Amino acid sequence: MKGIDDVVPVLIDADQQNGDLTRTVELLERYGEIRSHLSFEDVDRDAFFGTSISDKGMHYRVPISGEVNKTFGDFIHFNQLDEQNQALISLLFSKKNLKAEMNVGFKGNPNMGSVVLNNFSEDKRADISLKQLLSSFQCDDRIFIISSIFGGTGAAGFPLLLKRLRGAMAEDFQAAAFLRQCQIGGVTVLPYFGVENSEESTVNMGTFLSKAKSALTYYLNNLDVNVLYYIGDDLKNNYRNCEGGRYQENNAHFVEMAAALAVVDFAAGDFQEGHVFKEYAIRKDVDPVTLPQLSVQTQQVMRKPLMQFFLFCEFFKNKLSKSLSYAWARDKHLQEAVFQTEPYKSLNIFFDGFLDWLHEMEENSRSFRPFDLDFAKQNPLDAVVGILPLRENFLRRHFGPDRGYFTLLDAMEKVSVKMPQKISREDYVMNVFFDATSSVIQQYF
Amino acid sequence: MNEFCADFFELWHSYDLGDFSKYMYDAGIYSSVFYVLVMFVLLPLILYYVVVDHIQLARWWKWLFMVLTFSLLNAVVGGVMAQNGVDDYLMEMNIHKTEISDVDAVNFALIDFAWCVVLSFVFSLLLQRGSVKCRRIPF
Repeated sequence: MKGIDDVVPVLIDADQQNGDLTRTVELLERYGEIRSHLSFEDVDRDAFFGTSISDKGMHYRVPISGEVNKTFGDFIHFNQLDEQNQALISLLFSKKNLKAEMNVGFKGNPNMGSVVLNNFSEDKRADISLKQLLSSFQCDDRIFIISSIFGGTGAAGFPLLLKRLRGAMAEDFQAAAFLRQCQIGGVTVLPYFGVENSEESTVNMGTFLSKAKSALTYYLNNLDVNVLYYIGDDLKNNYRNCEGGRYQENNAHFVEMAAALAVVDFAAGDFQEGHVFKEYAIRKDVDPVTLPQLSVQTQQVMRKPLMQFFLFCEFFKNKLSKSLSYAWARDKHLQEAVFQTEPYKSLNIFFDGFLDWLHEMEENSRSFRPFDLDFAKQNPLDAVVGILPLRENFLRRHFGPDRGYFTLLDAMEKVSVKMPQKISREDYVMNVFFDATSSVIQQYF
Repeated sequence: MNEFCADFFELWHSYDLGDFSKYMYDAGIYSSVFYVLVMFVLLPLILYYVVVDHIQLARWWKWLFMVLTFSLLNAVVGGVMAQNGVDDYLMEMNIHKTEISDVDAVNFALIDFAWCVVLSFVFSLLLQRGSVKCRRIPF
């Protein structure tokens, strides 16, 4: 990612067993494992896994509250309040709210989240973690907060976290002065999916839009961010209504991918002046969305890296063992056994996650379908939906390598000859694949 | 040159074909066959490793097939050249009595074939350095 030395992802969620949270952390750890075997000595060189992602010893999470086995009513000591205060509370919170267990988060109730999370500074576990995380914060560091506006934790937590950071005092944080002045960006995700009706769940999609409107009204005058990104979509798909826990594993969605692009935009820009607002759009209202339907700016950022990684993935999973008899592998004595060890084991798992992600986005609605995943096994170059490879000249068409895997292998042979002699095997493999996929995409697309 | 080529094909007198070798030497055929051998070795290999250098040819068995095919062609051409050359010489010199047997030309072709394979192997090891995709062929 341009402009950034290190990314420190932090996941803040009361629902520690959340299925999506678990697989996100697993993938981040795999990324770290792969990267730990690579050296990146040439800082000017683009590479796979080139962005440094670290967890600062916190395994990518800030724990919220030890109150996991309490109800919300117990948390606010409802039964110990006098009659008048109980009446007031009853105006603000329903009986269901008061009886809600908080071990799976706030179940789409930001009114509950804003009370619990307002104790951030008093929540010893969370606050200690936050202080530890920010202990090495420097003057040029930046913070980016990602949240949804129609849920519970994100909707409540975003403004509260922001308040905590912008109001940082020297007695709380070593880097308080930097935190107050640093560039902070945020992406707030408006409703983009619904949930099925369920008697057993307190989550109700009928309230999504009204909650979003309420939150936006608050954000209008109460957010001190340098740049705020908005994204949302029509509610085209209803997910299974699951309040939380390990069964809450929603399919990946195009809106989430597009929201992540906000991080890239934030990293590359300078928003010191502040008060910038951005919205995301695609060129046409279509379903499925393919690469050509993305805006020019989006394609500039993600088209080539996505295609490169996809080619890498397909070749690695389908053709690697057959390619080991060719010169690129024999130059470094690369055999099957080498690829049964790290970092390749983690790489395989990471690729599985990548393919799952693509499958899930394709099956979702609005669908994102950059590649024909079934056809890709035969010929990944012709599997880019909506973009045909450039027409080759006569000689190349009839006498060049077969399109697809041989084309990539051909490129790998060419780039591997130019690799430095004194390079580790892991760096060699990654660099060969990176340069070869880059060369193929430049040549054919 | 004829002297060198004669030694080359006769394996430095280890494999002399008697009258056949004698008349080949006298007719100066050895050098012609040698040039043809060199052409059948270098031309395919230069095409394979440098000019074409195709990823789909980068298999040891395809290289072997190419080498054996061109060696066989070379042996056929060399054998025919040798037989015809000797026959023409004998006719020209009006020599009728010789101890040349029918299989001498075939034996010569076999030596020619073997030399072609050996030289192809040696030059492959040199030319593979100039190749990108076939740089590990045959190994």
